[in-house]
Amino acid sequence: MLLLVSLASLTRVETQVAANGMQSAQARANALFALNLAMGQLQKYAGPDQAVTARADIDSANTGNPVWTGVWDARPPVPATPTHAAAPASSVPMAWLVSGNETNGTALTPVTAAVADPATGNDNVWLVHKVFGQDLAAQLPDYPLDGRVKLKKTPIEVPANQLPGFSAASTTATPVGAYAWWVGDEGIKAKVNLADPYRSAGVTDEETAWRRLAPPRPGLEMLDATKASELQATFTATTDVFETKRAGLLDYQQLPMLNANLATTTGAAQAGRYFNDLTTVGYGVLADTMRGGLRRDLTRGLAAIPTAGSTAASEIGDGLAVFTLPLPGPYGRTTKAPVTSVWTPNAEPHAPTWSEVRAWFNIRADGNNAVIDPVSAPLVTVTRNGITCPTATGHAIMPVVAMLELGYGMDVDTDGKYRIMIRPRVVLMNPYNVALRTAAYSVIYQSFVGSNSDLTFTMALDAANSDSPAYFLSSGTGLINPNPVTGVRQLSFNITDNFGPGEVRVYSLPASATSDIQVNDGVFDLKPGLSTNRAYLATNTPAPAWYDASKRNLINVTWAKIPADHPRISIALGSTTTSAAPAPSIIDRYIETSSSALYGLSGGKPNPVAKLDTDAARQMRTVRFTLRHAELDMLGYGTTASDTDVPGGSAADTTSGARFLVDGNPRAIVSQRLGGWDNVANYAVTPLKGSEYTDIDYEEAGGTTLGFWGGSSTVSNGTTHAILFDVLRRNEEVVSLGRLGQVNWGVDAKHPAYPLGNSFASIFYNHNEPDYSYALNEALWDRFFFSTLPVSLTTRPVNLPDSRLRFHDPAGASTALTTLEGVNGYQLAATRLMIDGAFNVNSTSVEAWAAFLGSVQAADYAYQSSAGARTDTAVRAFPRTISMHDPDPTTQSGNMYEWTGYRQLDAAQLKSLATQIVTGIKARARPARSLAEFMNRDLSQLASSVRNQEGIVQAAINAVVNTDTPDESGNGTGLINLSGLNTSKIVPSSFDNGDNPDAARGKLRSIGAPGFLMQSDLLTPLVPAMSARSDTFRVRTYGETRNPVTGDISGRAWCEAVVQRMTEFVGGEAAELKLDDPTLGTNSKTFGRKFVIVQFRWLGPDEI
Amino acid sequence: MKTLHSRRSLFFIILLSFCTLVIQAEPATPKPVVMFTAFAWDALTPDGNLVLNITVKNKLNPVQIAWRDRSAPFVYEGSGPLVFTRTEQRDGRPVEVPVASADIPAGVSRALLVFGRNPGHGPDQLRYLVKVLDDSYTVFPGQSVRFLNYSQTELGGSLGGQDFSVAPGGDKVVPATLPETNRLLPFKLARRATTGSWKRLRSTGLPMTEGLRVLVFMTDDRQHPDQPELVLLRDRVDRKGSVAEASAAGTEQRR
Repeated sequence: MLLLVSLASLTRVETQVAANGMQSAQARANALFALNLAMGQLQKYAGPDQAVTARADIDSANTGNPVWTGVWDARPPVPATPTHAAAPASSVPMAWLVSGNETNGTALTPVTAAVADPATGNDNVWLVHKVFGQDLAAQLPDYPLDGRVKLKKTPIEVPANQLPGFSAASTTATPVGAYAWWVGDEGIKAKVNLADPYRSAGVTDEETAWRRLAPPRPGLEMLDATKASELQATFTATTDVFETKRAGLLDYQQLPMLNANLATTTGAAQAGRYFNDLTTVGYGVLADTMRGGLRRDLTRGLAAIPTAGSTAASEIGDGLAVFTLPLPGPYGRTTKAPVTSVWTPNAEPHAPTWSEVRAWFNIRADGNNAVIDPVSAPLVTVTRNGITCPTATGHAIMPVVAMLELGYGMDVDTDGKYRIMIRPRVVLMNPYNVALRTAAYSVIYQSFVGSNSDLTFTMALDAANSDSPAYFLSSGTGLINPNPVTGVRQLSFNITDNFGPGEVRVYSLPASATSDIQVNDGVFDLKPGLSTNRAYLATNTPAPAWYDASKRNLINVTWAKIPADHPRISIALGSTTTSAAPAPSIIDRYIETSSSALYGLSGGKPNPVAKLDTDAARQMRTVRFTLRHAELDMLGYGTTASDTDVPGGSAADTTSGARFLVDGNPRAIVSQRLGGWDNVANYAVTPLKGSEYTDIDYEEAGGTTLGFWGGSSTVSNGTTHAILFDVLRRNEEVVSLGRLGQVNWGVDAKHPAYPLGNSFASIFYNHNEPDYSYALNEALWDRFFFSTLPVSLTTRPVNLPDSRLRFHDPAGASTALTTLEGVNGYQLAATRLMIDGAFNVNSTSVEAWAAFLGSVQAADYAYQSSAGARTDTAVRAFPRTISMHDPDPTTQSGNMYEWTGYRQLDAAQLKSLATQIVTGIKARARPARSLAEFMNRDLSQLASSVRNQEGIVQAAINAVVNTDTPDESGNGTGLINLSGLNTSKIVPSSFDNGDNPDAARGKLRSIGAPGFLMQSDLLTPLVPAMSARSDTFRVRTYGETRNPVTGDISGRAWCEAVVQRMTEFVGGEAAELKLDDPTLGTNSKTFGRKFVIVQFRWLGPDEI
Repeated sequence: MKTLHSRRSLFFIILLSFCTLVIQAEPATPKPVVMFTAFAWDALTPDGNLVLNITVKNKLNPVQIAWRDRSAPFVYEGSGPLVFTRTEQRDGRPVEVPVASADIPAGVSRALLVFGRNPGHGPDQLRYLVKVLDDSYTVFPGQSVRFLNYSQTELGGSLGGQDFSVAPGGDKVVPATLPETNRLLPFKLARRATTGSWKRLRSTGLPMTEGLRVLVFMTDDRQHPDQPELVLLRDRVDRKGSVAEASAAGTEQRR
């Protein structure tokens, strides 16, 4: 009997265990069912490339469920002309990825209050509640985010007649279980377990540079030590042993393995709190969220001219425009009816071509202290799309003309014939961070051929004896002989010299000349330094008979007009002679000089008068053409309606100035007349009479005569060196697309000097339309990347220079990588590479952003400065020009390093930036649909809004770094300490000479100087890890079984899966296909790229 | 009656003759003679000249004062202040209204008159203020530079190798060395900040030759705070010691 009872009990226990197991299995099956639903929703909404994701708290209205994940449509309105310029019709996502939204993606929204805490009596369930035992409820003020997820369960019902024991006739829906699921966005978090392969002391200089220019991982030491001391300490000052352990982490739950203190109550609580900020998983597909398709590899695409017939040849072949130039507004447009001639074409210039980009990419200087031969890119006149304009086919690395000054006067020679005296001054600047070897240059000055371009003066002994000759210098029977090569009457100033990096040098007629130098051939040979010598044009016109050399001290000379009507200034590599005339690489044409200020016409300045025997007669009017700088407070000679095509004309303009590196490009290949200024964008003209004239500022240094530019053309705020642009070094692997910011993108001088990666609104475009930067950002950021793949891939590299890129071997495909070699790597590289720990820039986690910004580690930074090799210790460097520049001006004020140096940021600044950036992201209340949209300003905002005037990141930088005052701690990080940028030199609020004057009003004219941190400076090293979307998600699901009779829950199960979007299309087509490729199937077009589960585990109730 | 009338006439003739003799008998006091040039700095619009009058020997002489240029030389002979007038119409008649007055110290035979506005002048006050500088060759010789500081701050610097400083409102003549042939004489200018430190303003060069005088007139640049505006007036002392005033840098005339 006892045995029977025992056996019965055992059988009952076994039966119960089996029943429980079955219930558990059914619950798990329901959880897996939920996982499948979640996967389906992810695939449906987030599978296509043209979708972006963000956490619900991106909209501050979403207080109910702030950590839900939304998926937004990123498709442009017109696929053929993709742009995100227009805001989407609605900020509502396509779907919120939670259970309950399976049939309607937005049936449940996070704006509604969260369901009640799960409890007996309701049908709600926790999916995220506690992590490491820490309740993730909001706890003000330190933890404002409610990181918990609780959802109403979705019942699983079957007709009763399908259940045992129920009437066969009953079809009543009877609950047998329930499920819930939630998808968490892992891409918006900072990945903690990334390796840092270039960390050790034994790395090469190149590897050290890669580590700075494409940082291997986020800087978790940036975590807030006041809130997470143990966590922050864990990732600070780490050891090699720790690093090995860190790289081995598979799951967030393993975090305490890194530091025993994280297993303590305090440490675990901290680690738990950061569940929504940190992750151990995540890869990013190199996809273009604007156009769809994978990004193209410029490591392969720019290495050489693509072979004909290749994909690269069709997309980035030589001669192809990089993008379509946006059309400026009436002020900025290249037009000035009715004058349309070779001088002022009524058309915009041509867009930059891939030829220029490729040329820049392949111009390499040797070593840090590099010296190169200057490179010319002779302009040729090209007609494209009906526009005829000088266009470069290469990329010049040459000095630019910082100043050209012509002092005009007259004299009568010993033979009694008139002479036109000319005293030239030329200032050239090498804006590059390389030294230029000795070479010959021609600065060419050519007057417009017009009725007012003659030179006139009066010579009079008394009322009865006077003479008023007039001469054309460059037209008709001009005094200057036509150059035999060009046939043009021009003044050519030959200069042979070398330049140090950023050097500004001064030239004049040789001091060795013992008499005036005749220049009727138009050729002036200038020498370094300033002399008092003059050149002359012989007129062969005899002075009147009454002229008596003994009465020179009694003869008055009255100066009338200067032959300087709309001249052209060019610079070419090579000397101009009577048998040679090199083609210029830079042309500034139709510079405005036709003011009455130059002529002394009625109502204008009076004509100067001097006695014939004085130097004053030999230099009566001086015309100074100055490349714009911060102190220059005029744009042109705006007077009335005559100076603009804009209705109503423009106000007289002598107190405005311009942001000359934002609304101007000093190295632009062409500079053409603007409709609103009646002038080119980058030169201003100052006429000076004798007493107003002081010679240009200069400084003798080491036998060299240096001029000034930058903050000013005088010593007061000017600088003798301005290192503005970079030349790649022979051994530099370009690891970031941001490095292309050094290409001379700004074709016309009205374009920005640094358009790529920056977001300042231009004054030359309507505020609600894309400007040059905007359009260029859209053209590049989402479409391309640098793979940093080696030439040969016979052997798989362990790490690439961009160590965030990891090889991906599609299932079933060959693991060989040789297909990525050569030109085909251009379109194939992204099929086999993924970004490890890609960071979704729509992240609303301040902590994740701080860590991401902190990716640029505090490390010793070695570079070449003007004073020699230098190492700055433990700095986070954000240099614009790498390899060669000067120190941070805020660390060594008074040296004018604001024009030659770089900026470093400390951890406090980066944390403040993170806060500001997240504030900006939330202000938009929806995610950026592309990297370009993230970088660009918001065109939907008012012109007076900061959000319209600059992008989110630049606005953050301006609030934290480019401030007028030192920071709150009193440290001198603000611009106020950088006198060379001189915060008082701002564009006045009355400025109105632009299509978008709000863009410049109240702004520093020196914006863009190396001491002014630009968005591109900050983002360039971060771009390799940036993405506009997430491809990795953490799915938590719940399943339960219920007793159909009692309704009691008989089994419960939670699971967690990490789901990864891969490069492969769901239909299996070639991953590199563009979305419009006819071979791409409907499934792939609809559902995009495949999601796969890469991690899975069951969770216990204590893990929820 | 005729006799009486004749006697009276004779009496007056004799009296007049006597008076004339008495006057002629007094020791003659020579009237001071001064040759002056002038320039105006803030008195005018930038594009106009100031045309005033002086009265010499009861005759109105027009004086054209150039804006930021040295005028042609004028000779004035007379005692007392040199009064400049402007012709105005009152009740339909031209009337000479004094607008400026210059007290030329005794012994100064060559003067430079610097015209400036008299800010907030009342109806009975002169419209222009005139600063009188001794412009003689002994004070301001050839091959020298004269710095006239009309700015609000102390200015200083170096000319060639020689340092100088000029207080606000001050005037300093600095002898110049000759630069290398066909080169400029290095000229550096700085401003003393309120902290006492010097802020560099200009680093340029001046032409300098034997006999050349350069007056560097320095004012605050209203459009560029902290920077001076410079006006350079050049003239030359000829080899005989007489200045070639007529060869000065020139005045402005409307066409």
